[in-house]
This record gives sequence, structure tokens and C-alpha cells, in this order.
Amino acid sequence: MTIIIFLYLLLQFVFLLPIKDQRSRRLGFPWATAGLVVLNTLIHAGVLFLASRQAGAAEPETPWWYIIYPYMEVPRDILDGEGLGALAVLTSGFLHGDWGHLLGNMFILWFFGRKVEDATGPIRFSLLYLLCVYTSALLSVVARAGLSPAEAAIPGLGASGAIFGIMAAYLFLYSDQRILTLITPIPWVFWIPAWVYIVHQLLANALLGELIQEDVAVTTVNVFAHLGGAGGGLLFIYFFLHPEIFAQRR
Amino acid sequence: MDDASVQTLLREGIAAAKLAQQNPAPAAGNPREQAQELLLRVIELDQENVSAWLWLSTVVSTSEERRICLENVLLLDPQNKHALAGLARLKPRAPAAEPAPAPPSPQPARSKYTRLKPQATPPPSSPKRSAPAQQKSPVQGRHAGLACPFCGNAISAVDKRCEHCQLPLVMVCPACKAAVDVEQKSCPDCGQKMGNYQKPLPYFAQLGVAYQAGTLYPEALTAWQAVETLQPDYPHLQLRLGEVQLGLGRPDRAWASLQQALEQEPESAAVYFALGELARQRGERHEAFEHYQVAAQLDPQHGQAWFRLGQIYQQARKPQEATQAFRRAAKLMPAETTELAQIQAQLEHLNPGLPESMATSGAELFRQMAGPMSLFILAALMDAGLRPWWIPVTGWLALFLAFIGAFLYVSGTDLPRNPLMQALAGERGLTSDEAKLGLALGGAALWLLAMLLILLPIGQSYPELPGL
Repeated sequence: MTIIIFLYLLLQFVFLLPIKDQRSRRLGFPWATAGLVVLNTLIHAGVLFLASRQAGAAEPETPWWYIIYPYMEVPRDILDGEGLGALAVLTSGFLHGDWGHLLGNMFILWFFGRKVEDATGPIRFSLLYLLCVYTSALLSVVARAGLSPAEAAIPGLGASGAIFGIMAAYLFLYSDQRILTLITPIPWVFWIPAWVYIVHQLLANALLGELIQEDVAVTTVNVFAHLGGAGGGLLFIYFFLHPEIFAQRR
Repeated sequence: MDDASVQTLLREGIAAAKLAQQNPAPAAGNPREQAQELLLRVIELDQENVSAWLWLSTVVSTSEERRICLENVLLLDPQNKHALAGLARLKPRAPAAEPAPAPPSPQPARSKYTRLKPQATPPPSSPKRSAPAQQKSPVQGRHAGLACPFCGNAISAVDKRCEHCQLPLVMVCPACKAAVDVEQKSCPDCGQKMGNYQKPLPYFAQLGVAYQAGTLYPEALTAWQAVETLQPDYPHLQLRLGEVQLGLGRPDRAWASLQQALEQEPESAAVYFALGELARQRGERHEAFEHYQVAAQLDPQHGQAWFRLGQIYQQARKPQEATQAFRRAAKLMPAETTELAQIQAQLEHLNPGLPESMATSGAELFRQMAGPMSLFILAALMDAGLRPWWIPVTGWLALFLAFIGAFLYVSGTDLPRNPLMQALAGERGLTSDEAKLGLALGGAALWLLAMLLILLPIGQSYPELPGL
């Protein structure tokens, strides 16, 4: 356990911010990636607008996110067949807690999504993204419901599960790429292998998940959704690839 | 001039004719023209000189002229074997004309070589050209009676351009490239219509267009220069001259003409396209690209501009943009043209398509359908609390629709010859682009419907909000 804690703290200490990779894009404008970024942003702005209009009407103690509660992923409700079911899983993937949450997610989606969209085309990319929303919710629901009834009642939201799926798909496709990365606390940029960046992200989540399971750590980050999304992206990207890629390799 | 001089001229003419036969493309001088000139002078002095007519028949430009010369020989010497053999080798005359080698009858001259009359004594040199010459004042010079059909001034029988009005007297047939006198309305060799020289402006302009279409740039330049002589502000003239200079590989002259054209027609896609061609010829790819882009913007139906844009994109390694430009060009190019064949080859190169083993593979069909189906199955499962037996009828219906949608979408996009489609539509599978698009759109619509069926909260209770 001490080793896990040490590794986790070490990974948390090193923050990686991707800046660019070496691969030039093959296709034209990434319509699906851009569309998802715009959709997520519009939904967040719309939710905040609605929340601001309801602020005066609701009880003073009512948190703003109450208006979106039915649209968030609550493991208990999903397993009990209550609420909006699959719709709630889908909507939770397009909701964000605040602008920082949205900005971070959209930055990573734009960075990796365009390159993955190159290999799939916009329609298949959109389907893969939705599939990763569901695989992230699958692991999140199962793992959190297994932790405790209290954890199972906590609603989850955010696109990060699906975005981890896209990152994992990128790893599957371009593991030999190098990414120019800002590494803190060193105020400098380095070209690091893509797999180092992505494995760093996955490992940090996996270690945190283990610490949560052991009741050592508490976090608002839904690490199980991240891992579920990444697993979905890694497992299913093969089925969404454009056949031209296979034709070229023959 | 005495007989000795005639004989001297004849000897020189025959020598030049022999030289022309031995060396049809001399580096310097033109023995053919020299021979024509010398032999015509002999004929002027002695119209019944059989040898002169016979040798002249070997150096004239067209078969019609050759026929006239040989018929004149037969008129003077009906048993002349060379003339008989020569006429036999010539093609039969066009239906409107008389059959050879029947005795010639008086008729309007169809060439600059005078047809002799069978009887009487014709004037030393009958007028070779028509009305305008007769309406003008008596022509001075050694070829008295020969007049430019355009200005009526005196010309020599061997002139190819009038010295006075600078208009050409002999043009080239756009089809067979034989030299044709401007007064001839059709080519005597192939019958190609040449136009009416009595309306010189459209005559030369039409020929110019025809020459350009056949990439006969020197001839096109002659025609457009004639148009310029007649009407310097003729519409699109500078553009035409620029295009022709480009075809001749003279970029500086082309640039000068095209700059004038641009001043006259600043919104002309054709001018910008020609400027693009010029920049391309000079190796200035960036400038060429910009000119082609303007041409395509000004005239989105300009297939050539899209074709060139596609080529530049391809050179710049932008296959997506190249494909789009080539596809656009392919729709605009006339059928069965060289350009269209080139475009189709480029498209084939850019998008080679799937190998046969993949295009007809059941495994590939499964792979492509498995992705979307995974999404719908997982969504339906989540909707049913991860219990398959909770999936409602609408959920199963949605899965069925998703399956059909996946098959239609895959068949309409990447695998129109998948095994199932081959079983349904024959071995060639789907071939029509419209049918493919329809299937792909239908498949996507079924996916939307399936997802809606799964997402609709049918038979589900609304959850309680958690306590604060």
C-alpha cells in the first residue's frame, strides 16, 4: 500500500500538459471532434444559464446542479432501473461541473480527437465516442455500486470517461508518436513518447482507484469512469477504423 | 523574254523541284517555294509548257492544285503517262466537282493555279481570285490579274500573306493540316469546312478557335493576328492571343497579352485560368494556385480550374483536398475527353478502393457492423439496469433496427459488394452512387431511430432527489 501511495503521489507531482504531436493530419476539418467540443460547451453554457434563472425561485440551500440531477449518472438508479436509464448515462457524458472541468476535457478531446477521427472518419468517431460514454459508465456503475451504497448514490458527470477512451484509441493507433509536453514542476517542454503520456494518465487513475477501494483516499474524480472509458476505447477502436487503413497495410 | 530564258527558268525550276523532293524539310531556304515561283514564271511566259505544269504538280501544296496541274498537262498532252498516273493516284474528286481525268471544262478557279481552257487561247494569266480583284483598279506587277481577296491589292501567286492588308492568303485545315486557300470554303483533301472568307472576322476567329482546340498554336496565332488586324478590340482577343502564346511556350508574350486581357476583363475566370497556366508554365506553383482559385471562385463550373487545383493539392500532398477538387472537375468535364480520363486516373490513384479480398469479405462486414452494434447493445443493457431480461420490447426492436441500420450504412459506404449485398443484388453488389448514398443515409436514420427508442424513458419511474 505504501508503494501505491508513493507512486500515486509521484505521478500527481508530475503534471503533463500535451502541446502538440509529430503527426500531421490526413483529412480535412475534424467535424466530429469540433462538433463534440461545441456541443459540450453549449450544453454547459445552457445549464449555467438555466441554473442562474432558477436561483431565485429555488430554496436558498439548493445547489445549482439540482436542476440537472435527473440527467446525471447515479449507479443506484441505473441498477434499479429507475430514472432516465441509458439517457441519463448519455446526458451525464455531456455535463460538466464548472468551466475549468469543461476546458480541461475539451482541450484533451481536441488534442487527441482529431487524430483519431483521421483514422475513423467523423461518423464512426462519433459512434466510438458514444460507445466510450457507455463503457465508462459501465465500469463506474459497477465499481461504485460495489464500493458502498453511499458511493452508489453519488451522481457522476463529465466527458472525461469518453475522452479517456479517445486517448486510449490514440494510444492504440499512434503508440510510436512523440508528444511535445509541458512537464511541471519543470518549466520546460519535452518530446515524450505518446504511450508515456497516456500510461501516466491511466496509471494515476488506476492507483487512485485502488486507494479509494482501500478507503485510503477520497476524491471527486470518477477514476472508474476514466478507466472504463479507456478500456472501451482500447477494446473497440478496431471495429471503428476506416477499412482503408487495413487496405494500405496489406 | 526569249526561249533561252524560259528554258533556263525551267531548268532551275526543275532542279529546285527535285531538291524539294529529296529534302522536304530543309534547314535553310525553301526549295519547294523556289520551285513553285520559277515554274509559275515559266507558265506565265509559256502557258502550254507541259514540263512546267508537270513539275509544278510535284511541288504544289494541295491535291486540288496537283489535280489542276495534271489536268492541264493532259489538256496539252492527252497521252502523258505521268499525268495519267498522277491523276489516278489522286483521290476521287468531291461529288460537286467533276470526275478526273475527264477533260476539264471551264469553271471558277478553286486554286491559285489556273485551270487551262480546253479551247481557244486563254489570257496569259487569268485572274486567279474572284470578285474583289475584278472590282478593283487594274493590278500592277508581274502577276497582273492576281488580287488579294480581302483588300484587292496585287499579290504574287506564291504569296502566303498579303503585303498590303497583312492578312493570310493560305490557311491550314484544322482537321488534316493541309494548306487551303482562303477562298476555298472547305478543305479539298478532307472536306472540312473552312468558313466564308468574305466575312473575314468570323472566318479567322472560327479558325482560331478550331486551331486552339486542336493545339495547332502556330496556325492559331496566324488566325488571331488576322483578327487583331481586322478588329483590334475584338472580344476576348487578348485572352486568345495569351493562350496561344502560352501554347507556343512564349511566357513573356503571353503575360503581356494576358495583362491586357485582365485590364479589359477583370472578372473573367478564363483570364485567371490562363494566368494560372502561365504561372504553372513558369514553375510558380503558389501563384498558379491563387489564380486557379480565383478562376474557380468566379466560375464554379470551370472544370479545368478544378482539375489544376486538384493537381496542385496532390503535389502539395493534400489528398483529401485533391480528391474533392478532382471529383468536382470530373462532374464538369465533358465526357470522353483526355482530361476526364486523367482525372479518373488520379482519383483512382488517390482512392484505390479496397482490395477484392476485403471488399467481398464477410469478416470485414462483421468488423464494421460490430462497432455500432456494440454501442447499441451496451446502451440497451445500461437502460435495463445491466439485466438483459429487463430489456423491453422497444429495446429489442431498437437493436434490430440498429442491426439493419449498420448493414445498410456499411453497404452504402465501404462495402457495397459485401457477401450479403451480393446475395441480394447480384455479384457486382451496389453500383449506383445514388443507391449507395440512399442506403448510407437510410442506415444512419435507422441508427437515430434505434437510439431514440433506447433513450426514451418508457416505463421508467422518476427518481427521488437525494436529501440535502
